[in-house]
Amino acid sequence: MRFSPFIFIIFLFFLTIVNVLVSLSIGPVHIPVKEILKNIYLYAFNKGPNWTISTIIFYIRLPRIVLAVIIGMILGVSGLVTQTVFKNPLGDPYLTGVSSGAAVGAAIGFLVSPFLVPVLAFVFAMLAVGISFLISRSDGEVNTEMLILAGVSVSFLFSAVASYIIYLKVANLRGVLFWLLGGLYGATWTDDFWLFIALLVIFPLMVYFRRELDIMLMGDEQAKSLGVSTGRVKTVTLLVSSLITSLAVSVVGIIGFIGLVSPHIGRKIVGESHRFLVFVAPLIGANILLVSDTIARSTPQGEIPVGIITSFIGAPVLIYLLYRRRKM
Amino acid sequence: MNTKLITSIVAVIVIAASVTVVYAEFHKEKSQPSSITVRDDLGRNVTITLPVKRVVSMDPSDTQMMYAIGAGGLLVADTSFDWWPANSTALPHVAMDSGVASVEQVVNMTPDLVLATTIQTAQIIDQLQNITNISVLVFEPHNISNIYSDMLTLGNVTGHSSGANAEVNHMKSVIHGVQVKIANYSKESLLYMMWPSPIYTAGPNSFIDDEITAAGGLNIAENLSGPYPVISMEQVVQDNPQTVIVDNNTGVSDITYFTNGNQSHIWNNISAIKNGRLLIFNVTESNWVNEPGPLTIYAVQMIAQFLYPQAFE
Repeated sequence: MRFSPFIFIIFLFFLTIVNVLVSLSIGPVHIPVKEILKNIYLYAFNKGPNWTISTIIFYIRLPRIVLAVIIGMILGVSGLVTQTVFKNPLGDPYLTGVSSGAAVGAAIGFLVSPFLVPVLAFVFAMLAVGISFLISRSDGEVNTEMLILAGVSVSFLFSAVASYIIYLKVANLRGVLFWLLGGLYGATWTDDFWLFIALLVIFPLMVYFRRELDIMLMGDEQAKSLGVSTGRVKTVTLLVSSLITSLAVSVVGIIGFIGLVSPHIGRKIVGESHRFLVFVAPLIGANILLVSDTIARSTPQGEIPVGIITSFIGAPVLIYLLYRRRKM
Repeated sequence: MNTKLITSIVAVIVIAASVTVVYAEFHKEKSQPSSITVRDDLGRNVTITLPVKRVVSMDPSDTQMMYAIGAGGLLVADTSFDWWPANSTALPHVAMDSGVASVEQVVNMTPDLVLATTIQTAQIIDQLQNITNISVLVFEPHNISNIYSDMLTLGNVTGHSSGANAEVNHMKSVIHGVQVKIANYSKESLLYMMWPSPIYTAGPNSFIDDEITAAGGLNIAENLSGPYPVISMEQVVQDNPQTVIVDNNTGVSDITYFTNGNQSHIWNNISAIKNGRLLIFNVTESNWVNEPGPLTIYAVQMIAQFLYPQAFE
């Protein structure tokens, strides 16, 4: 049961738009759809909108929804690249040390000042990624087998450091735990702007490399015989996706599962070709994160970390797809 | 032959002596003062052998309650977090590895009673109670009357009932005094920030919420569930609190966090920030608020004075 990939991409695009509109009408403060539409009109034409409603829509919900879409796309496309380059179905964009590096930075940030959390998270994520790449470098290119092991080792090392700092030093355990499970609560238009630029870097690059990524699936020997310099493509795509993922993590914390599950769902529906997957995986990521975040911010007991919801939604979907594959 | 006789005599003497000693011991046990069984805040029935002579406190709020009811002299150890009263800091400290006590050190103090809060893991309480046979009382008050009942329990157990009664009456009269003063003012809505991002606050099942209520504040987090939930910016915008209170050590040092920060365009329109009605705790104030015990009255007084300065002129 496969859809025409092209139609599926258009379907996903419209699904995202519908999802955005539905999310806009859901939240901890109940605002009737009529009021939302009225205030969008009043706001757009500068006719004195209700302050409470327009602030909630334009400064709290909308920037957050946009952020969910952008981050979901970044994690989806980064996850796709990671799985392809490592030829590993368990690949996710945090594999090169991003998440544990970011956790160390965030833990230090929670000790020093909450304002430093994003900056330190980014710096330490890049540090962990940098170490992993340095370890696995040979002849100016990365050896992916080495990189996956280096990434895992570096991750364990940084996790130990993060746990040590959090366990012994950080007083605000709830705050740290929330950050480690991810949350879009701090979303502003400024965040949206910078992450959109990040998306503009990574997305066209992966579209550009879509054929190389396809060829890589056949193995290094095949790729070489077809004249594709896999080493260079691997190094560039992995470095860029680690960098952009670090940026995303520094803003919203460690949101798990999106990068892992989105490419798998995409493959089950449109097949292995990156010609379509580079569009499908990020759009699926955007939709999963958007639905998850809308749930996370609207629970009656107050907001809960979105990472809990993404796993709740993503894991059953993946299990279902695996079950179907087994039957086939 | 002689040896046999001597052996028999020795045997008889030994047996008789043993019986006497055992009987005496048994008798002594029976004539010992009884034990007392009380219910702690975890709902456990704890039996404590009386009289209690050596107490180890594993939390500053427990230490404060002991001194306040006049039983401070029974303490043989407390924690390095203790700061009130001044002489509590001179006691030997039980090592607290990020809040979790060292069982070895507690046992080494040979206490009759250990006072704990739920920051200690169940395993530690279990180890002390069941392996070393030391009674452990866990106090975790959820509101101010729960603080009173904990103090009365402590008074009962330590033989300082009258002291506990006096302290509870004193606390009640102070809080009543505050409430009389502010009775004629209309209530101010309040956002309490335990942590700024996401905003952790005190929900309806916490003693901090009860302190706010006792001080005449309307906690905007009343509708959330759980003691320390996250409150959404949406709700802050909707409820538009008249005052904001921020705990110590959150990175928020003055109003510029709100007026110049990431979400300044939202905060600048919130009543509390517009009117500069912001209170940021110093370390001592934070301790008053966060350590349920005799100092809770200072927390209530401080919040009430911030909310209704005219009432205290």
